[in-house]
Amino acid sequence: MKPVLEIKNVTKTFPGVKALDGVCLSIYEGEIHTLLGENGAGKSTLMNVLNGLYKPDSGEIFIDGKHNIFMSPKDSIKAKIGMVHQHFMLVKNHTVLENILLSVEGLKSIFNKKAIRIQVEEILTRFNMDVDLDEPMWKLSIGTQQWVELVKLLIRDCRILILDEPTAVLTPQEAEKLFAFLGKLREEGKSIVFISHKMREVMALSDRVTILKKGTTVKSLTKGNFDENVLASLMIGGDEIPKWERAPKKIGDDILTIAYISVDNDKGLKDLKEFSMSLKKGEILGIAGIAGNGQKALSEVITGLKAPKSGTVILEGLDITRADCRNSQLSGIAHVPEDRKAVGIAPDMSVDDNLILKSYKDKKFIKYFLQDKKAIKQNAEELIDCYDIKAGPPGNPVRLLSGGNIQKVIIAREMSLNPKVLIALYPTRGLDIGSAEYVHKVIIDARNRNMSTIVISEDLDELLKLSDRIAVMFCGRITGVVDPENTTREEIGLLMSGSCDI
Amino acid sequence: MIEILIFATIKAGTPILFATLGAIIMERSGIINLGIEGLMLVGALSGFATAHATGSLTLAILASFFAAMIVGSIHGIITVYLRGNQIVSGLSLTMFGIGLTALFGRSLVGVTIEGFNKIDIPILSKIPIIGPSIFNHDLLVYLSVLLVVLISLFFYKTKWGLYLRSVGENPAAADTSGVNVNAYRMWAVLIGSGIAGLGGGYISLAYTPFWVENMTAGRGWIAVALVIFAQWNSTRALAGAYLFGGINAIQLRMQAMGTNISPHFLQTLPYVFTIIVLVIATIRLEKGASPEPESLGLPYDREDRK
Amino acid sequence: MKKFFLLAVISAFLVITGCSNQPKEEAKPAPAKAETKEAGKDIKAAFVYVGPVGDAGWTFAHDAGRKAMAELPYVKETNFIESVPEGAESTRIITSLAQKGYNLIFTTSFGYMDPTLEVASKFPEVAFMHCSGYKTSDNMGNYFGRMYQPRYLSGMVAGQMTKSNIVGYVAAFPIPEVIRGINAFTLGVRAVNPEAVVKVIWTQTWFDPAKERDAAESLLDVKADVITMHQDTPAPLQAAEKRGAFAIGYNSVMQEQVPGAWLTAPVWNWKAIYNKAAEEVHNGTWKPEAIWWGMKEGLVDIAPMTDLVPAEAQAVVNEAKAKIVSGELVIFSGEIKDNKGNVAVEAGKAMTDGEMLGMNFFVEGVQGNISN
Repeated sequence: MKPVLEIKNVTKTFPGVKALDGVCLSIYEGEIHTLLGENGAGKSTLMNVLNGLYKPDSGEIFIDGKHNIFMSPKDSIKAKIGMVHQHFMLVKNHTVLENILLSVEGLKSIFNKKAIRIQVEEILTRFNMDVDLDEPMWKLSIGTQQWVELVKLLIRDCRILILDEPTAVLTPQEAEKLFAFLGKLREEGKSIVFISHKMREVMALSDRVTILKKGTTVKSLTKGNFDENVLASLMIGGDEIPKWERAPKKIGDDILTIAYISVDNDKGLKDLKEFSMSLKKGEILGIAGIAGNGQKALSEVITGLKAPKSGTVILEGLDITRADCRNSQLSGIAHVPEDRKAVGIAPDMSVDDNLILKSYKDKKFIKYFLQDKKAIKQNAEELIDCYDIKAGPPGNPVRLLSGGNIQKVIIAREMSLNPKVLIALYPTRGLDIGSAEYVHKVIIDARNRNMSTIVISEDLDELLKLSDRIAVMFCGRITGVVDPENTTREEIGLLMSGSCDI
Repeated sequence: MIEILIFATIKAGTPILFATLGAIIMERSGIINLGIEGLMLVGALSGFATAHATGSLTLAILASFFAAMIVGSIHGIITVYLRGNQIVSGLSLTMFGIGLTALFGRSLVGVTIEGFNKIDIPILSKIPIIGPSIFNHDLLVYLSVLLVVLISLFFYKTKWGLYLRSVGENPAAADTSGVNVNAYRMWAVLIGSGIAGLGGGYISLAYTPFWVENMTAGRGWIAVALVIFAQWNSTRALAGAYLFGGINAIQLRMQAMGTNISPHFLQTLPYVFTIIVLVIATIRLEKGASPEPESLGLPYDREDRK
Repeated sequence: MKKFFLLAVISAFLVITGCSNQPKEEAKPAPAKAETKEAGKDIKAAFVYVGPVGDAGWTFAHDAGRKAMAELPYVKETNFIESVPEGAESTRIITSLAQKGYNLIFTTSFGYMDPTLEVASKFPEVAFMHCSGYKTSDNMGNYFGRMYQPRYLSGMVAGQMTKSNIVGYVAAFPIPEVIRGINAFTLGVRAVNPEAVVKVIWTQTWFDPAKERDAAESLLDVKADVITMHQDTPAPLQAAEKRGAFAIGYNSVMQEQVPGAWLTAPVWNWKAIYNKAAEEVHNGTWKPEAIWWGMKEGLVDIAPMTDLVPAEAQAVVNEAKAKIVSGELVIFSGEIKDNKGNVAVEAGKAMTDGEMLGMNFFVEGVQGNISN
């Protein structure tokens, strides 16, 4: 059988990064083809090449055996390729119907909205989707927005559909519905390129899997020739994964005590309701819970970004309830924020400068009222070496670094302040396995030095491996504290949904 | 008296209306243009010069449109293709327009032309009150109102309008749907500049048919503000332009009638209204919905990795 | 990098073409002059203007005076810089003119007063003349004209031409100079037509043709049939012509632009003062004085009345003109009532120059407000 789409030796370089290096890929009719790889392996870049957004430096693309050059998304659309991007390509202020109209091919200059509405409604009923066409896009849930993206591809009658990590924004139930839908499309003879790194989904769905690693194709395997272990070893094979172990140790007394904290958000709703919790010296406290249950507010109160309406935060006998960011930092609180690019770093500044963002007032970086460039550089060199940061050429703006290296810059900066308490939000989200394990190792090492850490995460595996205790948050309160050695996922799951006695 | 007020309101509002419509088209595509004042001057001078040289008002109004379009293309090239800073480019365009027209207009100071005359629309202009006030204007006034309708239809009933709005909101979404983002933005700048030029042409060809340096006297800036007042909507631009024109007309006439209200107070009224409308507009909107094109002022680079 | 360079070049181009402030020299052909050279100083004169010479008003009138002065045989060079902002920028420009060797420098806006004073102290050899201010020094004089005199005469024209007995006056800002003009005009109107009133509209802008026109139309709407103004553009006059009313201008003659309505205008004739200053500097007799010349010296005048003004009416005006020139007719002399009925100037008294310079009331017959 001939492939409908064939990619040969595609290479794409961004300033300082070789994102794709001689990638090959063949897609056949009526298959679900999974692209598997770690974050940063080049999956999204490759798909953006197929979508016509990125122009490859070299390499060839064949559609039905015919050589094709994609100069712009227009050419990709002509080849009947459609893509649901990880960040949706939707116009938030337009209605659902207008968003779909945008992707109708051969739309008449003065179009007939009614005729197209009928066409769209037909697709909606065929696939059993429930979308109000006249709602503005921004009012829709993220899951529903994804359905709209899919309708955009269907109305254009694409035969190759690319879905970039579609399940990342879905609940397990929604994901099931999506898989059923993709199955239906496969029956209709469409080819689906599915991007993921969740093993369970890959095993359930794929007819064929292609593994990408550091911008190159490792291998393509057809159904029956792979299992989870094979895929995992191919995906991370050869990588140096930092090893660490959480040695049992004696935990000290309370270092941070939070009592009866209440916080209101901008909309006047309660983010935290008389929240109480304590952290012990040398302990890693995991906080589990579905995002949006007050985790962010908790971190903001502790780090001084937000003042609570009531309650107290005591750090080693010192009341830091109303301390601002700088004072809470000086008293020994470090922060690895949730949004690392927007909050964690100053993206356009150099790595050197980002590393002293919090200690620029320190005497060792000041010489006659001016910054001491030499000391700053030396500090950077030490940290880059110590934390194994791939920082690129000197003066490189930090935004050009990969996610893992940006996270390392943040952690290096925070740890260099010798904090008593570190509060880390989703510290490994979107990182490749190597970087993620490195972050874990740093936290464990600090624990051995008796530093206390609060890790807020949605990833239960991470929390179970890392924590000395796990507290579960729901609706601005703690619904339970469990011992990771003696608990089950089910127990935590119940606490997370609040269906238990409080 | 009431028909005189309405008549004067429409007249005073028309140049601002043209300029605001031009700015709306550009901003809907995501391009801010602070050079409206300069474009109006270019339109005013080229229209006047053409009328003086050829005696044809049709040619004159075409000259207003196309000259402003050509000068506006500088802004288009800088902001769309070179992805330069839109604020800086727009401000330079205003300075450029003022300087350029002062230079080339020198010989036309003190020259006269026969400007646009009023056209009585048959039958309609005989209706009491609204006849002499609304159906008794010059051609350009009718053209501006026609443009309001056409632009509204264009935005919401045509493919190009949909694409243009999408480009201003989320150029990446438009791009992945096969819309040529740069081309749409460039055309929006060109057409918008031309329409702003008509606003200048209205002043030098119909309102005060002569040429003198800087004769638009800041109306381009009012237009820039009115775009926000109008919430990027052509029909509201009509209301906004007439509100500004109306308050000016009314305050002058109140002085003429000898009322004791301070002219200083009346002068502030348009701005007080702007603030009130802005406040109302912000309160009424639901969170998340904004009439402002989301990508306004942002250059689009397909390969930019965010 | 290339892109930024290109942007920089384009921006620089825009900025340079947008605000060129280069002196425009008008040197004369040399040979013709060499023969007529007499004893005495050659004059190199420079003018600093607040507006563009193309404004058809204030600066235009000054530039006409400069051109006339340039015809004098001992004036070797005249030069002007237009659109100079008042304040620090003007200090820089006046200094650079003095450094370039100009020996007679005119600064033609009120806001140049202190900058001129400052520069004058550094260049004692240069003669400075400042227009419309009140300060003088060892080498700086000032000069202005009694514009209210021809305003009065143009009021007499308006008073005789109006049928509705309503005259419209489009004025910029309520400051003494403008108020003085309105009052003199009104006194002129009422001298020949005690029934007539003058309606005033403030535009609150020195420059906005469209608004000026709208203001004139407002006056026409309330039955004014003669329009005059204290503005620089012909816009109010055009409005008058369009409605078949009469127009009286200001600053310069705009007859060609409104041939069907033009009656006359009070005008400046700066040549009178410029020629005098050039001659005195040439002869070495120049002294820094405070000059407030009127019709007698020819600094201000009423432009020739057109045929629209009947001969009898012209005769009345010309008679008054002769009396003003001879000093027989003093315009602001009592008894003058303000427009609230109070006596502003008692019978037998005349206002002093100082009182006139600070005038802040309307005379009887003016309809309008001076809002403070």
